[in-house]
Amino acid sequence: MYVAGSVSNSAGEAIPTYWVNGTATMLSLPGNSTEAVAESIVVSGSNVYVSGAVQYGAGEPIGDGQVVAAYWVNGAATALPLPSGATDSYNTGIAVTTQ
Amino acid sequence: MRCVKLLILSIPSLALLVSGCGGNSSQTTGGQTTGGGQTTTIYVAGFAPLPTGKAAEVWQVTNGSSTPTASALSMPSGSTASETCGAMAVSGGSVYAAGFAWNATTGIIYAPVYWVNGVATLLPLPTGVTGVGAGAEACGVALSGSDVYVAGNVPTSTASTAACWMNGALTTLPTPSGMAGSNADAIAVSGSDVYVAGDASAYGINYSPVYWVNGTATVLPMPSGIDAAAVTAIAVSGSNIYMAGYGYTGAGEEYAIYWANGTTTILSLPGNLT
Repeated sequence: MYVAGSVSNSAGEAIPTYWVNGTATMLSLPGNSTEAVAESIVVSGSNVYVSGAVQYGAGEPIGDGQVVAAYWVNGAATALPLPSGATDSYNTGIAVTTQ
Repeated sequence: MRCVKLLILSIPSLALLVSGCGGNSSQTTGGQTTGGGQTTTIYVAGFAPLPTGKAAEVWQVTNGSSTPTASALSMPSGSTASETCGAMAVSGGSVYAAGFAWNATTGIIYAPVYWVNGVATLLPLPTGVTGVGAGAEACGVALSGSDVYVAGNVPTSTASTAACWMNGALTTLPTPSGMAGSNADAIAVSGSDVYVAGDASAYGINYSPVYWVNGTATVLPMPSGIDAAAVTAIAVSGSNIYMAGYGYTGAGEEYAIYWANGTTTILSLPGNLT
């Protein structure tokens, strides 16, 4: 069973985390980001896909700085491009197809 | 030594690896292991604030491409802003997302909506519910064959009530005994069985985790020390029901928790956080 969510460290910073059968793994942050949350997880074959949002710049709790939707594939983070005209973006779900 | 508190922050979601099928030769593409010659596409649903209002979006990434593309989901008729909410789904080349929309000039009246391949469909509210404050949202979509199931919340004469739409037809879910209102945050479908999960509360008391199977409500137990909890994700494998969510202690500490066939557990913190 795979569960995605977040924990916070002693500084109050959010750390994206997922659990596999109850064992936690913290996800890395994309370059220059200060904290992140995981919102959704799917598993396809042997791959684990997590989506969430990362924050750039100072600010705690998350949302005080620039927030950008992001995803992780097997722990590797990618921040998604902002839609034209947007300065922030948020994530709610992820899905994967293999054909 | 000072005890450091660690809080679970965001809303947990869950997935089940039910079985592997195929499993022939494999290759690594952009960090993903895929079968030979297969194309993997990742879809991410979300939203972005724009000068004209919030806009629901879906990003698409194919085979680990370094150039994800963002596409705006269509704005429902009469709306000026929209957000996605909860789980999305992909089947047969079609992309499904759920959320809500509103008109910023006439007042914040949320309307539940779902999108198929970016095209919005407004979902119906209970008969007689209209006007300012008649807010509602869709939050989570699941597929079974060609049927589309959406979970969400609709206003009634007394409180918000969990709801489910099957192919656009509304069913309000019963509020558990002793509760005044309910919310749905997740949905799963297995065959013809529909599972919806969320929370319910009475006036002035903490909320409780709840799920519905084919419209019958069950209030879930909470781990020892947790005074309020909600379910935010559900998955079904055979006869096993798994749910994840969050709960608060009386001191306001937040924890990620899960339920496996009704047994509840607080998720442990990562090993290097104590």
